[in-house]
Amino acid sequence: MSLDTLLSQPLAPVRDDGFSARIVLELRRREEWRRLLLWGATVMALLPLALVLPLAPTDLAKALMPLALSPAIAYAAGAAVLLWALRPARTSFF
Amino acid sequence: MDAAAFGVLVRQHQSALRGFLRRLTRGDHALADDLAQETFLEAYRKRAQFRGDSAFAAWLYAIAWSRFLMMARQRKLEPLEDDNAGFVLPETASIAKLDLEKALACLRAPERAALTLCFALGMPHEEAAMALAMPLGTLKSHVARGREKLKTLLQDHAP
Repeated sequence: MSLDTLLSQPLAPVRDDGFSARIVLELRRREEWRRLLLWGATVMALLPLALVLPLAPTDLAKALMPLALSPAIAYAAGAAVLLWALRPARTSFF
Repeated sequence: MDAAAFGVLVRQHQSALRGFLRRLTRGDHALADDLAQETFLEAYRKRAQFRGDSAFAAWLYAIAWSRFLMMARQRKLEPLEDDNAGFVLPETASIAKLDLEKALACLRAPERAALTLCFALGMPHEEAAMALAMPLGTLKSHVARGREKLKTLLQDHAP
């Protein structure tokens, strides 16, 4: 067999074994992360604007009222307070 | 092109690209797969730069080659300059036992890459030169020099 024939033999096939799937998964993960960063950066950039918005106190209160009355937020806040309150007691108990 | 569409291209090219990188890394499968993954991720990131005036494979191998060179420089794996300092002829006793892969492993990286692209992957010289970011004449020199070295290495191996 001549050298050129030997060299022209195709490379041994490499089985995929999930390689392509891992690449696609990694691409999606990076895209999600990029989207999250972009969204976060936009929110952070817009946040200072909220401070200078010409909202009357009554308007602000009206806007925040449904949020304050939300049961989910009330439960979460209650749970956080409870956990915080129990934390020193637990450490002193043990 | 979204990730799913790019996944089709990855499936099409993964075998040849990983094979090419395995040859470049002298059979280090784990390192070759790491480089292949980096290559595909970079290709996806830069997909807007692919103008379509060349073969996708050549563009992909150009990224792979540049990744390989970066890694080789960082790890100081082998000399990459254009001289023959890295070529060490094995002792005669072991030459007879050399198969093609082992013989190729004795060549310098640009020679291995040029021979693999032009012969095993059947890439035209112009495309191979583009993939390896070198002038056509330099590529042809690498091919010629690599063939000469292989002839020497395999002379006792031939029937």
